[in-house]
Amino acid sequence: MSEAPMIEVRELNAGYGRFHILFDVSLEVEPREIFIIVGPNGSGKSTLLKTLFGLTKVYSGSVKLEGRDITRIPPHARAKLGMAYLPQVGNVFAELTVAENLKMAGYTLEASELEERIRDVLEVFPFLKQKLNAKAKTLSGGQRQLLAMAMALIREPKVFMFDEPTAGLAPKAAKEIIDKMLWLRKEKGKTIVLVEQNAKLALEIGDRAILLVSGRVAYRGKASELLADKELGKKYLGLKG
Amino acid sequence: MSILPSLPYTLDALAYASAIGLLSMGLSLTYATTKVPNFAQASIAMFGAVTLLLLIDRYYYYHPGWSVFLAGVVLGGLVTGAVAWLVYVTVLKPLADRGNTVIGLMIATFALDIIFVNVLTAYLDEAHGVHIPKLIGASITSFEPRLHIGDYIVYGYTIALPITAVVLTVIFHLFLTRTKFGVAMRATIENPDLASVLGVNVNLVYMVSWFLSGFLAGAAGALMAYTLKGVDPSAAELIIVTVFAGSIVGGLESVYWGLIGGFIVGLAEKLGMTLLNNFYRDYFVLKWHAPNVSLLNYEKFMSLGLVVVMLLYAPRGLAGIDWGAVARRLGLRRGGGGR
Repeated sequence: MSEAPMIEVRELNAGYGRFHILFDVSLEVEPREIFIIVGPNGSGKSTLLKTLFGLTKVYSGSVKLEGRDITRIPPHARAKLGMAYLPQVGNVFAELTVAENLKMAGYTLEASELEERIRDVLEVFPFLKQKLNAKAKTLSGGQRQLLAMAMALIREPKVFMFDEPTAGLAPKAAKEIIDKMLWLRKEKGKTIVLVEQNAKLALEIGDRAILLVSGRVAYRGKASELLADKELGKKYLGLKG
Repeated sequence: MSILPSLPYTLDALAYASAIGLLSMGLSLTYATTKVPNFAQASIAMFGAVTLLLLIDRYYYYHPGWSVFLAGVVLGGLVTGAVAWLVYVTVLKPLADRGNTVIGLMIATFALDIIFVNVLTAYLDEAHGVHIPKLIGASITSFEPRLHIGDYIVYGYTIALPITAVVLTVIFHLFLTRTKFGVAMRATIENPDLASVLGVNVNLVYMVSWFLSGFLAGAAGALMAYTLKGVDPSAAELIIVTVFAGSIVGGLESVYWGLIGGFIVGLAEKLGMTLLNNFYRDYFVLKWHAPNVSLLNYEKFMSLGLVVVMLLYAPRGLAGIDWGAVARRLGLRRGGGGR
């Protein structure tokens, strides 16, 4: 028996209020794959990610998680079902300390279980050990993204959905984030959905991808093939031939 | 004559400033969580004052003692906390759920303010010989414990109010930093969406913030009755101006700065205005035969003047000032150029 897709989207039309942004979008994300969403500015990449997490208005179509229809359920219920959404900004509590952020991430866990998970997460993100009493606002952009990842990991989700996690970061910090994503998939068997402005960086590590243009799917297939498609790359992704 | 105020007057001013500080702190708390500018904060505090009045009439009339302050703070706080919680649950939340903006919610608190003042006033008018059979009028001034230090009489409330402000602030700080729910409250203030996604019951946080704000108001209101020399609910209409001034000077959304802002504004109204009045009396009335007008009737000039100055020079209040840069500029701290 074949496994149900981790995420299955069918004929999705969504937007904000009356602003229709996504048109008939369909996709399937398989378990343990890195799925990339790329496209030019304003193509609806972030909106698609938000829609998967229930933060927009769905006009028609469906979203399923492991075969279960989640189209109409609220974000906090999706989080309980195993989805973690990491927005580009506002993904940590800047005024709280790193330790408080980690505790907040496991708010619904028992104290002993939370302690254990924090210990495990600190092994994966050792730099946080020295920063436990520092306020999150004192961390660099890259460190904040890693803290957000650590917070998501505490909840042990099945799917991590990243919205432009490397935007505005130095190459070294961006590489660290990408390395952690690869680690999440390889060592923890997690599924990753990645929206990225840096198409080359994303397509190099991705398994499959879609290219969104004006809210519609213009390409669906292997990430490596999209990277190799000179015409699409040049026209929509700013990739040189 | 010295322009400096006497010791008892200074202590009275410190007590008044402490009460305003607690009220402003509560105002800032509910503004930070639910974004409602609560114009009923001072009239809600009057429930604390009425609770104290009943306490004295029922018990302390025959057993006067220092524990009246503790009982006033705890019972006044609990009763008023419950009132504030009810205000949020039965009025403000339903209005917010129906899509009312901050303006609508603010007007609702105006209406509640008028209702509370009138209900409490009517209750006290009816009260003589019925609800408070022993006390004459709403006066409580002869039932306060006091100390005799040298030539001075130090009234108990002038000690109790600052101590209450310090103790409640420490407890509140420990709650916000050491308890799971307190941290969740700070997280919700900063980013309710993220807190909700992490499993925090944001609505419960809002309800608790209203209860705590009411508790602070009730505790302050109970003891403030002494500084106002009696329980008069209509006094809330003047106090609310000072409470808002304190919260705005503090930065409106910062709980701790709300306390400090309220304290500064309260002190400015009492001590600042007295200094100004005494100066005017000594140098203008006596020397230059200027009209002998008491400036003490114009104490709101101080609080509102401070608001104007803050809005002009530090619109985000004391909380928005880069104190590190100020310290470096004054040569109090070494370091880089700051931001």
